[in-house]
Amino acid sequence: MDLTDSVLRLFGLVSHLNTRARGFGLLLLLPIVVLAIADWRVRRQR
Amino acid sequence: MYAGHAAVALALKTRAPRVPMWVLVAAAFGPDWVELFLGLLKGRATGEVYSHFIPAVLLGACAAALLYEILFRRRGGRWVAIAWLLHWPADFLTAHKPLLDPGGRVIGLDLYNLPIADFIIESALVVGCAWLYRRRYAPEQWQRRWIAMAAITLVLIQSVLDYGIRHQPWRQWNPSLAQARWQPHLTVAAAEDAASPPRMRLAFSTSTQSARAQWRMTVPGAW
Repeated sequence: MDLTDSVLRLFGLVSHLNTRARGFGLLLLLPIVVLAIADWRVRRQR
Repeated sequence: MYAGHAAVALALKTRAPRVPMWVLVAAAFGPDWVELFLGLLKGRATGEVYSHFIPAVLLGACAAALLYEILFRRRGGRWVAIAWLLHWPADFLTAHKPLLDPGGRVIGLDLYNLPIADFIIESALVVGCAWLYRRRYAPEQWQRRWIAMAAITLVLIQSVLDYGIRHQPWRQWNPSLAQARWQPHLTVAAAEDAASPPRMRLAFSTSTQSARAQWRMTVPGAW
């Protein structure tokens, strides 16, 4: 059980946590990580 | 739309240098985050309605802008709101969601089901916005490399998504401006005609016999 499962179980949401939600969440996180790293590198070297 | 939302954040960053990039990207995907969390709480259909319906988008944009200004104690909330609001037209272009109707009727040009067109549009958006960002913030070659890598990563993720959609067996392009589902109206009318006894669909008055006769001539199988 990972951290997400633990948090969702805490709030009684574990029954709704399915593969689609995990995939969707990952897809939403990816562009944040990619662009934040790129922007951080560019600004750091600017 | 997927990579296109991130591209919008890149373009907005050129106008809002003090707003952190991760905030702009999160706001550009804001309705999707709301959909995800509401979907976990109330189910997927509820999540879609209360995240992408216009009043919900307006409310979310205002709340996000306010939250940003309170938490970060600085101006620039309007850029967060703009990033959030631009989610709606982008999704109208590519998706099929309850954007105008809380009753769940879905609309949108549904370019997801034309994956090649979707890929071309989203990639062009990423390249264009990355170019704007590069022009504003990355004069040096080694800075441009980071922007190029980010743009290539976004385009690669988008290509994987579109490849997956392209190989869905149930894929069907259903652009819709007002319908819950796409319906081939002419086919439906013909099928109804075949099932029901031949009957004049329009109520002509007795004074329009010539029109009735003309109808018989133009539609020989109608009687």
